[in-house]
Amino acid sequence: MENNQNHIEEMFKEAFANHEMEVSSKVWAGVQSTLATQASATIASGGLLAKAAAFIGISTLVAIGAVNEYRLATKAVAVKANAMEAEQPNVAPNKSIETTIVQAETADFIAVESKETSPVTQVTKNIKVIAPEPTTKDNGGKMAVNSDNQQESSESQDYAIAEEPNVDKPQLPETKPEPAPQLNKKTEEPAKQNAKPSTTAETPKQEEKKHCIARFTHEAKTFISPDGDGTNDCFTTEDAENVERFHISIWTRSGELVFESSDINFQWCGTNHSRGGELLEDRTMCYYQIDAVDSEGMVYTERNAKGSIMVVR
Amino acid sequence: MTDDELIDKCLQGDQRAQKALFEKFSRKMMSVCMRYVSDREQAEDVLQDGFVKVFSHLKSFKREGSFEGWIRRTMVNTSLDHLRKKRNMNLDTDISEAEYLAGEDENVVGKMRVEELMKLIQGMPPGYRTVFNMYAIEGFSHQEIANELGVTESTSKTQFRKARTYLMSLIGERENI
Repeated sequence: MENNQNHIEEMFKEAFANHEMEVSSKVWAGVQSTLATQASATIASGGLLAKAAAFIGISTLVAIGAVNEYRLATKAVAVKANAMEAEQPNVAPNKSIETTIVQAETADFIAVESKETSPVTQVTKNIKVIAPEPTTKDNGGKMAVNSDNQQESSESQDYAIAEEPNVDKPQLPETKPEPAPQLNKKTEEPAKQNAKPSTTAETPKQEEKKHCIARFTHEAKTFISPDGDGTNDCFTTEDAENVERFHISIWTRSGELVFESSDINFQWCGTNHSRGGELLEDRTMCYYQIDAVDSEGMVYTERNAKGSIMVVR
Repeated sequence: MTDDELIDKCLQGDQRAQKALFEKFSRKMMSVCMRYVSDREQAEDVLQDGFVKVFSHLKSFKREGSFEGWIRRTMVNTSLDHLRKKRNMNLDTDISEAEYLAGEDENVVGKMRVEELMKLIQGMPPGYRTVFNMYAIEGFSHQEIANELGVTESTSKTQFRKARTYLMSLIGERENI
């Protein structure tokens, strides 16, 4: 049995070493726009104090060391600063990147803040010119945010701000806007994947049984999880061809008939039809048997005509 | 183009190279993400974030080991982060029923298609699934898994054993009807 189990691991490992799945084109679009966003962020906070439109807004949301600067500004600027943070890369549910355009014209003000917890750092600043008080209050705390006070930040990661009483000189803070978070942990190489193409993925081709030309599939469902999330909620057949007569019965392990249908378009989502459709319990193991006949009266005998299926809730 | 050349170009900001790199690895990495995060939409989110990390941190790739391995590891980390965030990695889940029927005809597994294996993995409770993926497929040690998941090494071992038993029971069921 030990061997057998090792075999299982090897088997899985080999099967997935080179397994590929379809990727929707949205993903690349999302990657691209996030990268573009980051690049702009870098430039903006890197000091090319711009008159350009800066922007920012990403799915990942931790602002890391942005820098803040302004001078004689008269604008309201909204910035969503954002940077990837490997430690807690929040995966935003929404992959579409909304890009907030920020107009930074003459003036400007560069971002703000390193705050570990705030998901999206959004700073809106209304600046009314003026001689900033030479002393900035409360350095340690959350800097920034709607204050009329000047914040001069120096190093991005430095919360204690160096006072810079002299504001006349616009000063570009030196920043390392992008602390380039290391990947959390050292990325050690997982064992190199076996390069040879997996052979295990091949379809177990079944012999053409006699002459039965009836066909259908049901995605080899080993379990269903009827939780309404759209994945694997129900047991159904698909791609039916030449099926003249059809019947499916499903029993629990204890032999209770919980479902039957003669409609090939049936759908069974883990209910017990002998008991008014009550839900079967989590991890109920069921067995199904499908009887089908093609137009020539040949009986369908493929392997997927019977099997087991577990209801997982 | 070799991986090295591809990396160089990407580091220079060549967008075509980035696209090429993405094309080269994204389908495999989708498979990785789907094993950890079985919902397709969410897996694509993870994939996207993972690739953003790959590009953002490309310069930190040492070029000593396999580039694909490095990317894969990044995807696994991103997946784990996602699961953590969803608190979806409860390691306490238990399936007592799975204890029986372990160890069946080993040929059974050989006959299964990778899509079926994928479904088996995705059908496991998240705790089992995560540990099984990391240990059996990614090749992490239990020590590493324990560190990653913030559990003890013996929890990792136990989870893995249960996951394996669980899989075996499903596979066995499948055949022995």
